[in-house]
Amino acid sequence: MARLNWIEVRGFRAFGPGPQRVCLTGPMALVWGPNSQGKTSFAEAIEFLLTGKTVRREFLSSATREFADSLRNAHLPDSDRRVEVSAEIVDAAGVAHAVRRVLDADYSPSSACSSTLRIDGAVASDLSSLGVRLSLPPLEAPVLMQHTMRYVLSAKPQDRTDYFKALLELADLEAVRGAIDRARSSLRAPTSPALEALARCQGQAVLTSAFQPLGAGAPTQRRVLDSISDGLERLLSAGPDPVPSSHEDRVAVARRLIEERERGAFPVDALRAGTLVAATGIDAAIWQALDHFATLVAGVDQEASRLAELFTAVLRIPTVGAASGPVDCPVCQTPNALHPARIAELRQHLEESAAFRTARAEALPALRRVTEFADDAQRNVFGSCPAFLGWDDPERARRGFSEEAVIEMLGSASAFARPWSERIAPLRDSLAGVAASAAGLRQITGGINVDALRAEQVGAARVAAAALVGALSAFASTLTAYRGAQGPVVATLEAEVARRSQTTALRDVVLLADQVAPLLESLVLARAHDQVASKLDRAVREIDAATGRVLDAKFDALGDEVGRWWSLLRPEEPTSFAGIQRAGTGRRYIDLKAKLSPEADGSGAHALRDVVAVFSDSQLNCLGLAAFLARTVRAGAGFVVLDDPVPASDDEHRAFFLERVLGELLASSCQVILLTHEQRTWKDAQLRYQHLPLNVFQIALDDPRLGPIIEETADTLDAALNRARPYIGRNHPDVRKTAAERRRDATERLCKLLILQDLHASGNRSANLSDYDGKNLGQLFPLVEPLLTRDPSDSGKLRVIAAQLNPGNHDDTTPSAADLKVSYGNLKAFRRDYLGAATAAPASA
Amino acid sequence: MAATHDPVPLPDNLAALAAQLAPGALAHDLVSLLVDRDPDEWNDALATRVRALLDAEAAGLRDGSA
Repeated sequence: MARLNWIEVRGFRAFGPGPQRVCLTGPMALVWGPNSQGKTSFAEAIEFLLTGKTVRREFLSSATREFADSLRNAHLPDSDRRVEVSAEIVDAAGVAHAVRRVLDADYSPSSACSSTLRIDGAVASDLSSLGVRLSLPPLEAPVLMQHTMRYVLSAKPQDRTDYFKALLELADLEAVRGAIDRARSSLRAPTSPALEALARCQGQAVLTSAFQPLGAGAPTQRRVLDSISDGLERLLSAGPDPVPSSHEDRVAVARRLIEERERGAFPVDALRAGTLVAATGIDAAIWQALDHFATLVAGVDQEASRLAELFTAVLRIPTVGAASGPVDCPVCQTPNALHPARIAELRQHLEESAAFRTARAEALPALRRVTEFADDAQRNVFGSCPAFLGWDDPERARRGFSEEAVIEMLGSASAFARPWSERIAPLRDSLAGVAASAAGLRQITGGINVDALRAEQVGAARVAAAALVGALSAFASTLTAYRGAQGPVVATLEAEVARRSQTTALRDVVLLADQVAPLLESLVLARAHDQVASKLDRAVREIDAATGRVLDAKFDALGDEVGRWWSLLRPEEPTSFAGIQRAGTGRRYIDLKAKLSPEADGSGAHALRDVVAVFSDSQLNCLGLAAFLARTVRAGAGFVVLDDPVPASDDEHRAFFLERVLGELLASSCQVILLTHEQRTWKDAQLRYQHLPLNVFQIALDDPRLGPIIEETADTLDAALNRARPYIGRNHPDVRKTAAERRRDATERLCKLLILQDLHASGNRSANLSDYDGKNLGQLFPLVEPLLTRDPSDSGKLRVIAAQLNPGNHDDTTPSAADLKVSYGNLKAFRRDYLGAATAAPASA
Repeated sequence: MAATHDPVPLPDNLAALAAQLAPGALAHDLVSLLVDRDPDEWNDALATRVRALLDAEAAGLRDGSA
């Protein structure tokens, strides 16, 4: 287990700029200070070191803003932001580690504090590597303060349950249950149009017997087809015609019947948007072909091009084509007109004319493609629009279509009409945008004579095509929005048309006939879902029952531990702590039970009641302490901090705490840091455990800017003798007077210890040093004198000491330096001879 | 590291829980699935298991429907 060597606090809560270090060389440190002197700040500093927060904020604040800027000392100057708690922690292997937590950001009105923890200079997330093991929230650190001790009792029932569960560290059980719950909740029954149609069929009285069988047993294609065929037979048998025997014929008759009945009904399909083919635009190669040809057209010698065929014929004449010198022109007969250079020029020209023709051949289809793009775009968008958009008023009237009619048909679902209606105008506008852009592009391409193609015409076509692409994109967006609003309107109208035409059932059965395979798969998935859900539900019930048994065992064990600490604090009382029981499943609530005995010593037949109902305030406090101690020991904490664990009003249990609880903690090698405002508790603890190397401190807050000052100051006989030692052999009257006072304190402590030693030896273990507070030497001496039996002269020596010291405390002649020296020696001899090893170890540094 | 501290590792009560459940039962299977597994992986592990249960049930039903 880990233990502390020292703790140092700076700038944290009440603590000021001067670091205050508490050395913890022994198994127990005792810190005394009146109220509001910084004890709880010190306890919270340890909590902060261990956890990086203070649980007080969670327990005591009604709003997080109340704890804003609460960790940094309010009196530190603005320039001083250093708030830190340091410690030396010894791990289980005996290796000491420097630990330091620095506050990076204090609590704000809306956020938690943040801090940086370092172990031996390296940043760490927690202290687990040193064997410092924290418990689960809310009480993580082994630091008991008033607000943490009473939390278990003042918390809401659910929080109290969580507290004890945290003690038992049952969070993994909760997590298991939560994870399985989530897995169960994520199991969703499948849905499909076919299943929905089937459910409607099963709900129709006339079809129930046909489709009900599909709700049980393994779904097969044969059973599905039989149900559909049976359903159709039942529906068609109500009509005037005989029912066909084959399944296919029944479906065909049903379709015809639907068409007949719905003929002239509201044109629902006219609302349905079609599919829009995604616009791909015009390939770059098209534009390249047009650009290239326009460039050639601009640079070509039109007259030379026109004569290309003539040049070709001339060059085919062998005397010209193979001429090595000047020859006569075969066309105009000009002598020597065609010389080799001129013939080469004709050949070059003909090659250029061929490229021109190729380019023209490519430009022509390119220009057509641009025009087709405009045509395709317009055709595509018109084809995807709901049909009613293309109807003029007479056509609408003829078909009985109007927005008012739609609303009337929707009936109670008329709320669907508005979003649908609001999307009509944008759709119409975007449609017009496409039409206008397409017309613009067509106008440009229509005005182009390809043989006179100009680059600016190609540029204008490109711009118009880009505008058309933009218009198509805008149309696609409005169509998508329309389609979203159209869905519920069309579905409702279809149902209404079917209802008015009395084709609902027919439509559903025909839908099933059209979707036999999807229906069969949906039935398989639905059945699988039901079976798995049933198995999971049973598994959850079994896990809950098993969790209950685990909880029972855990609660019993924890109850025994809490009860053991309870009995150490309050042995043999008629009302005592009985144990922890889960209420119901124990997932939300637990009961803390009290045992009510008819006998004063707690014996006899007892009754069980809830502690919150029957425990006194003192008993509730004791339960809080017992629960905390059970947790600390269970967690294997190497140390525990107790801040005023026993209220001043609970004097009768103070002795049990000092004797039994502290003794039990020390016996289990748990280092104890006891903070108390009761000087009596502080003194008695020093006396009771004087055989141990205690660390004894006083804490005092004189200047809020400086913060609490912690001084190591023992209250033992050895400490009293040590305080007297500096005055030995000094002759100044004032010094000798002080020496006499110091020695008088030591003598009184010697007498009290002798009396207590005798009482303890005779079995009165509850006698305490504080029982003799206020007794002076004159009152103590008669009680001590009979105990000085080791040497007949001891009684006289003590009388002499008393006689010498008495004037020192009054306005009399002070004892001589020699007298004081003799009395000091005798006192040390008395301590050695009568108190022996009990006080042999120095109790102070 | 500007933080408070990491969550306390969960103690192992799962083994005790599993011991309370009948071996071979789905409840035992599910709890055993989580023992010694990082709690961050629990949801995925259970979802996979439930998916497998569904697939197995569906496959059995399809076999019957063939």
